[in-house]
Amino acid sequence: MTIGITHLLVVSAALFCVGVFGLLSRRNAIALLMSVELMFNGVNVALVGFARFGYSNLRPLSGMAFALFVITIAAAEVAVAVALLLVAYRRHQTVQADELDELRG
Amino acid sequence: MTVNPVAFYVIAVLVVATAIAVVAVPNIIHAAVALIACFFMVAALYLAIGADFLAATQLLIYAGAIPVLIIFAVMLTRGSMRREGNSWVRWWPLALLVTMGLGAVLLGVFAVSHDRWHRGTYPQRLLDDGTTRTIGDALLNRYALPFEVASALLLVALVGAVLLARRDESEAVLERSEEERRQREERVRHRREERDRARRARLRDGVSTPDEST
Repeated sequence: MTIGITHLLVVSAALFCVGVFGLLSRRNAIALLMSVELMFNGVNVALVGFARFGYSNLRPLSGMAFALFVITIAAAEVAVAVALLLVAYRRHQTVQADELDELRG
Repeated sequence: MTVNPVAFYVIAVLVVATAIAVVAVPNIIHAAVALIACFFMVAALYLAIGADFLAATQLLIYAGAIPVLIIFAVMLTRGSMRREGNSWVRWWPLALLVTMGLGAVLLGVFAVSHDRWHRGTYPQRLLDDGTTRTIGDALLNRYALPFEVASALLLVALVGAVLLARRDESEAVLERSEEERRQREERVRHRREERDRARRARLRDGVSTPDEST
């Protein structure tokens, strides 16, 4: 069986689901950040797969251009999120997501 | 061009296995190392399907820059790791259930409609030239505006991160007052202990009171 778009989509879905599980279940905020990165990678795999196997003459490799934008935004997101975590750690001496519950009603 | 199936399956299994390791390993540093391995494997996946420029970018940014930031964050918040008990929330089986439901929905969608998405592969003669020229052409013609906006976004994120992580004056004042409060409480506790000890010593030495035995 030749490798096609479906194979890449399955890998992408697996990466995304593992990221979602990490996001829902881990306590450490840095681990949550890692899970978000896994989800970004899952989306990227799908985009690259569409660029490679869903080829259109009109817009060649648009999917890869999108993937580049996703990578850019992920880099910006990580920088800001790490800064936020550092501020939260300085204020509360913890980065456990379930202990940062000041807004709980 | 057809992708080598054996290479693809091996790399795909490694991608998913390292991703699972990221969320399943309790130690956060081990998770970060697994994350780096996962990003490397995704880069290998891109290479296997002929996306050479994306593979290089993945290595540079995902496998190189982002884990460094994350490990820096781990090191700078080291104090909270020591008393880290459980790494997962109490209701993680529920999270697993939700995730499996999501995966089932996605797989169902793929199974129903994959024929409609398959519109022929990228031409072999263009793949032989590499994808860089075509991506550059797309970025600087059709997606020129998003490209420029992305540069502005990076600048804003840079400035924002620096501003956030800097210790500003109000925060220093806050920390100082917090420290004073802690010292005051410490003093009060100390004085109370001193008083208790004196009272106990008095009771032991001399007059016994009815409540001494209790």
